[in-house]
Amino acid sequence: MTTPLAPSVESPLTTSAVERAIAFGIDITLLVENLRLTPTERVRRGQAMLDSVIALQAEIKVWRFRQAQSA
Amino acid sequence: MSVTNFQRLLALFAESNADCVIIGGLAAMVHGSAYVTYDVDVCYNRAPTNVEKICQALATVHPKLRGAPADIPFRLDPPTMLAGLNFTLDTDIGALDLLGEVSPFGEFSQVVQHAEEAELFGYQVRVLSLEALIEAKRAAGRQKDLLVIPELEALLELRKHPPE
Repeated sequence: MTTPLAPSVESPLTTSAVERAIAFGIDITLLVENLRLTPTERVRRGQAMLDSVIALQAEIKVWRFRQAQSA
Repeated sequence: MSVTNFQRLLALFAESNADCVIIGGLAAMVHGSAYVTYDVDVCYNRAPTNVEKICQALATVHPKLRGAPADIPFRLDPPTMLAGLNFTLDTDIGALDLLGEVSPFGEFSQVVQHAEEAELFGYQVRVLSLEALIEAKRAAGRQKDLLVIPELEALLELRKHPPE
């Protein structure tokens, strides 16, 4: 007995790009929300996300340094 | 390395009247992508007068080769830009990639034919169209480029057929 392969992202079984994106793990609600914004608002939001990522990376670096110090 | 300030980098190019097209992750963001991008990628016109404008504008933010040892001498001037093609830079206001060509389109004169005008922070700027961005990501073929294609294709579909 053979196990049928799961449909791939490129599978013709999935008919629309939105369906393929959902199957790929993309949160479509974020895209719908972004499309309601102006291009400037989208870039402002992207800037806020980048700033958060950079701040988080800096926090992780400090935390790792402290962990290494206390080990 | 400075955190990239999209508004300031866009303003720098717009105020210099340099001929360029926003491409890459920032173009995707302008079209509605939810992915985070760390830099600004532009395809620039390599006409000497335009290269001069870009060099003058960027001189104010001290461009350096990104990732290169600090002791390697580098000055972004027109002869340097015209001798090269693509430059991966770090500036006082963030990471900037200057590309002389974009696959599969070619140089600026071809890329600009696939650009749209967008208003960003009060400036009219050229941004690679969503359709062209998908083609460029596919042509680049790297894993990180291929991963964003499903999202870009979904954006294209949502733009054509907005949900009710």
